[in-house]
Amino acid sequence: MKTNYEGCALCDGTWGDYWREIEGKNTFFCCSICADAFENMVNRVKKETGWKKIDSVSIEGNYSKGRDCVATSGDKRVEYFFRHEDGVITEFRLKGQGTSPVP
Amino acid sequence: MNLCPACGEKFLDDEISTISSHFYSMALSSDPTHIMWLNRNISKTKMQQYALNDKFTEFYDFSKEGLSMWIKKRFVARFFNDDPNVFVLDMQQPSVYTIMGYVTEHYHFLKQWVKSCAYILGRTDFSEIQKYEFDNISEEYFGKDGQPAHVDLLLQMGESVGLKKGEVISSVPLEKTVRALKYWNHVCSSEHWLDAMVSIHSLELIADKNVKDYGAKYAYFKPEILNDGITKEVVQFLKAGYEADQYHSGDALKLIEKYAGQLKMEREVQSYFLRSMDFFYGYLEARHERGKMYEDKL
Repeated sequence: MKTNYEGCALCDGTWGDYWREIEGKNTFFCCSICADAFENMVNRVKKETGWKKIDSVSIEGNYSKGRDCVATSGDKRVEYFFRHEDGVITEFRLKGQGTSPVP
Repeated sequence: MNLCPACGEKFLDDEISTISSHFYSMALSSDPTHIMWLNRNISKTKMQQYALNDKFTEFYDFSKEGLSMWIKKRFVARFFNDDPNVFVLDMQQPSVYTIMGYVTEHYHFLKQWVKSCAYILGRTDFSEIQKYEFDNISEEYFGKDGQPAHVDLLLQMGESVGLKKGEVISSVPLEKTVRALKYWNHVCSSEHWLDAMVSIHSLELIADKNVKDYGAKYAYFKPEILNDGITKEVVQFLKAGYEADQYHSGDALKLIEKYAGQLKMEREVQSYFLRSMDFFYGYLEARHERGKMYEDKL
């Protein structure tokens, strides 16, 4: 799966040395919290869209602002926003479809 | 002595190299707390240990403007920058729910505040510090210059937006508030009184009306709200804080700078300030979260 950052797949930081397999690719993260957040976000996108796999994720934003993202799978594309707290998704919204707060 | 501003580990000396090497080794082991702190305060880009040491030296350097201004500028950079704390954003156009969240979490904060001031008062022998803290406690619970007590103004603000006093008093603070209150209770009851002082009084900068002089992109709230607030009780509470916190924090920072110099505790004081600021950041997020809870419920 392609990501838009050269550093940590979630925050683009280059500190740390934490690796986790995401969608079949060994992916670099700065720490386990970023890896948890990213993995939970990917699973949430798959659940919301029904996609079996994700080809790419592009992220803009940060912890306090939340993150605006674009994910693709084949010729399909989805835009969404999410926030996390200690790696757990606390807010997830598919663009144009209202807020879906996590209970 | 010094402590790590990220995890609170204590060091026997106050050398910058001790702090920077601690961060470097924690970052090598991918520790989230230290990496997040580095990302936020130093750089998101990994560097060699000597370069990180240089960055920390620069970060802690207050020689140009003095300790008090260093604290003000660091505080502003954390809360009022381009990407401000979420509660600061809420306060730019506060709703009834923002005020409700503010009142509920802040009630618990104020209870701890008085205890913290009392600990400092009881643990210092300097009379000007004792008088300063006595004045703070008195204003919180008994009011000043004919004004109602600060805590009463807070509860009245809540009632004016439909929040019953009993509901606030019997509420349980949110997790981030609890975490912060526990920290301040610990510091004020167990650590040096000067570390306690900087940990709590630096936080009054949140309502300092001069923050834009220290580089702030935002103020705590727009002054127009004092003429056209949600209710007159909201205006009264915010006005009291607006007028009081400026001299509170200013006076406290002058005392902190004076005694940190005398007692040769500058670097230690800087680290305690940085650590406390992170707990305060979470506490303000709790005010936002409480406001969202009221919004969802009502």
